[in-house]
Amino acid sequence: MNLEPADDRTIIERVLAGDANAFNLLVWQWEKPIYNYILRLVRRPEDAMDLCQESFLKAYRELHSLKDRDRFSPWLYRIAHNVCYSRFRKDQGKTFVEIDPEIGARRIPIENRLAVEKALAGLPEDQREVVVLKVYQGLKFDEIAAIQDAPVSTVKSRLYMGFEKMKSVLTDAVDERRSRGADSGR
Amino acid sequence: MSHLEDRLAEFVFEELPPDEMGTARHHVAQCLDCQARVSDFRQVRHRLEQLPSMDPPRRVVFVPEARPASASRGWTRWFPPVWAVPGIAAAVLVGFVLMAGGVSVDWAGGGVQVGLGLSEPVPPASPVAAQEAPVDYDNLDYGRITAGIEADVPAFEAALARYRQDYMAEIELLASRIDALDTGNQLEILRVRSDLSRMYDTQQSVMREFYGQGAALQMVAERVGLE
Repeated sequence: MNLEPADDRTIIERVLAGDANAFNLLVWQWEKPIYNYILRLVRRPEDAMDLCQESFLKAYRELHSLKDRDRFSPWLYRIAHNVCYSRFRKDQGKTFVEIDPEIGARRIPIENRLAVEKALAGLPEDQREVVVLKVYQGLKFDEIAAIQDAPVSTVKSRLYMGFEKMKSVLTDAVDERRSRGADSGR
Repeated sequence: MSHLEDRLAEFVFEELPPDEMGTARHHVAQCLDCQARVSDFRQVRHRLEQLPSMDPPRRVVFVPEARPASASRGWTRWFPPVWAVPGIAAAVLVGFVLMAGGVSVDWAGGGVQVGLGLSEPVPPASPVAAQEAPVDYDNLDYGRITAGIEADVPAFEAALARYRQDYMAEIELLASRIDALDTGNQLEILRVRSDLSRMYDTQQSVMREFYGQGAALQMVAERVGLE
């Protein structure tokens, strides 16, 4: 399959004109960011893949309702957000194993990566989502506000609180490692 | 100007309007309190950015749901014909190399001998043993493989035919799973389609790589009529 990069608007127009296969171009362009967004929310690769597929399926079915075709990605993130939160509601009270620390990530020391993942996982869902959308997906505050259906000020506040908590957890982790190092050095 | 306060995040992510950004920079340069807060914020951001992106475990492949009632029930309806030709071509080439590497090429012994192993009896190998000796695609000796083909063309063609038959059987099996799920779980259908398309993608990429290896593989492709 020859998948050349193309702008979202052009592809959407092709899909809406009847070329349903062109939707694969959108999938190709957005699959990895959407998968990573979902993965950082749900933290289980298989679930993330299922929810990613479900998001694209919904996007295809609702594509005709997209008003501003230049804003496909925030709209897609909004769909993925709804799919994830629907899953969160279903899964309330269940306990899950967290993301496999070895999957696809070997460039930074394992203890650093685990500390950051743990700190991120410890945030409330709404704060974690803002952090993920801002830091990893590079969305603007107003785009995140549209996805979360919240005022921009709330989004900024969530990001700030999330960062404050992460700073605290990461500082504790560093202190703990230093303390362990000092103990073992004696 | 007052402290950054609730504009801290916008400052760090450079989303303040240009005039405010300039003023804020000027303030931060002079205010130790704001410098400390900005520094903390940037450190957390930096730590977060160190986590790498991950590749999805499989690709999402979308196939339109609506099909005319008279549409073919065979596996080919899941793929445009343009996929089938290179897919089969690649399958044949992969089959050839697998057989060459897996049956009669003595890589470790230094005395490399290539004859596809089909013109002389080959001791039965257990499936497990076969899995433990993967083909080293980066170090195939194409000159010797070509010589092996030249030495026994009928055996080579018979091996290709057998591989092609097995490969097609695998495709048929996956396609029948899709047909069985046709009115069922949409996500499961997507999953199976994804597996199927990944097979084709793999075959295609292997084929491209082989074609790039030079005349020997070109000759193989021509011989089996895949050009």
